Amino acid sequence: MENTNIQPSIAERQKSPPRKSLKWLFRLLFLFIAVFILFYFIMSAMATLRWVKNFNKEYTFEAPDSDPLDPRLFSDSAFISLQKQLSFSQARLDMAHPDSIGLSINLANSTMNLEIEGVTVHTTHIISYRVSRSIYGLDHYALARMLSEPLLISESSATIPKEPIMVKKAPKDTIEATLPDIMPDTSTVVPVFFRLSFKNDFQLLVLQEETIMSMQMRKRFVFLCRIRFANAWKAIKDVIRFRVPTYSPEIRIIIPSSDARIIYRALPENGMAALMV
Amino acid sequence: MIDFYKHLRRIADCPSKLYKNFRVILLTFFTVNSSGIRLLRMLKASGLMLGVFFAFILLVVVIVVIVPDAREMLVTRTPSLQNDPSLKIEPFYERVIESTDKAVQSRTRKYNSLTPNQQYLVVNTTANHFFLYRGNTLIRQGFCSSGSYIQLKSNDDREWFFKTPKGMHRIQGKITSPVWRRPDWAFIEEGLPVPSYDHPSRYEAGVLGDYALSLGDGYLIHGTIYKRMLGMPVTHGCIRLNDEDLESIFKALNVGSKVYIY
Repeated sequence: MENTNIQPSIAERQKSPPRKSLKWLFRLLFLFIAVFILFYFIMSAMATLRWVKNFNKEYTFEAPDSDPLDPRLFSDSAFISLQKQLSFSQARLDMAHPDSIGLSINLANSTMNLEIEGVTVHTTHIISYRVSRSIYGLDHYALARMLSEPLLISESSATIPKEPIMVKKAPKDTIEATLPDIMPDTSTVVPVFFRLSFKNDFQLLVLQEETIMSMQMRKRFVFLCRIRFANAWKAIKDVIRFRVPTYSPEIRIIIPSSDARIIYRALPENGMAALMV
Repeated sequence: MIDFYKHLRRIADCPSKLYKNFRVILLTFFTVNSSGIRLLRMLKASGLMLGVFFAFILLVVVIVVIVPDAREMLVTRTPSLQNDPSLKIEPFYERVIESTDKAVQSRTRKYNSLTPNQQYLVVNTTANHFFLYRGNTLIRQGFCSSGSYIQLKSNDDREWFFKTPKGMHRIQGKITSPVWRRPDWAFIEEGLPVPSYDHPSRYEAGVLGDYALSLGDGYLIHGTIYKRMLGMPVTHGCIRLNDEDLESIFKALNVGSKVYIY
């Protein structure tokens, strides 16, 4: 008797109509996701192309009608090279004015300097770098022109704290004062990866030189994932409101670990950077 | 072979809630053990959930990795720079190049003039290193100690932050055989009662070394009796040096000399 009670119930469950509706639900869900991905891709691609177009439009050279310049000049290697040098020098000079610590990044000769009022106080060698493909889509002159002003840091994040602050409660007596109560600053062994977001949408990602240490690899993976997720979340929020998401081109730089720590700690929250691409 | 599957189905009909909760797990376990066909059945049943899981992972990868990387592929590269000989013979070309070059040189000269020709000190508070320069020439370098980044909170809600101030500073004064006038935090930190303003216990000779250079706001460059701590961030905001380094820096820097701290 018991056997006959169970067998039909399982059979019923397997052939029940909710199962079929579930299948349809999944099909609909799949279709919805596919459409969303397509829409997301189109909007993201539009964001990139629009950024490049707007950038070129904003910074391109417009000669007065009375004194037109030969357009060939703006694709001449000697002229553009000089323009880039001029922009970089100008940006460094502007950065030297306020009493602040600035960062100058010269990708052409692979150096990164910390500068205070025009004095180079620290230099590091850039081991390798990668620039977003969209930057190569910019007009040479427009890019040089944009970089003639220092970039302003609007936001930063890192795997280490900017200031390793340790809070200490005043001891009640001399006996308590002798007890060790301060946690040592462990950030000297933590791998250093940091991101600087600039006001004109550029993002600078500074990663310490890679080693095979698992902790470093894990930290790097988590750090990069966090950035990617944050960017994707921002883009999704725009896309679901039918708005073109903001696009941020990225410059990824790899430098030695000790230098990465020094540079991140030295730069003020709203510091400046001069860039030469 | 014992048909555990059949046996458990019978148990599954038991009204006990405990059995009902665990029967799926038990059935699955014994199905795997009893025959391969049943394993396939189970996979078919759980396939839906697996499919959903992998679809979700794929969706995340597409949104977070593939789309952001793929969208940049659509950007067309700007044509590379030319070295057009026909442009170089144009009369305006030389004029434009010359004037741009002059502008570059003028800015470079202006920028280089910002580096002092006199001696100046550079202090790296992260690595706790100092560098003494004359122009672009490095004269001396070594270890130092800078602010510990400790935030001391007293019981009467007063706070002190032991941090070396960054930026450009100038030497405000030079002192030989300095005597340390211990501030309130020096007593609070040691759990001692704070004495009156001019109490003799506030004055301590010899602890700051033979020389001190003032940076203003109470910050000093001085010597130390804790020499083994050099190279570590342990001070209350001042910069500590060993005796030899302190002496050469004291002799090299004058009032008004620049100190760059980063």
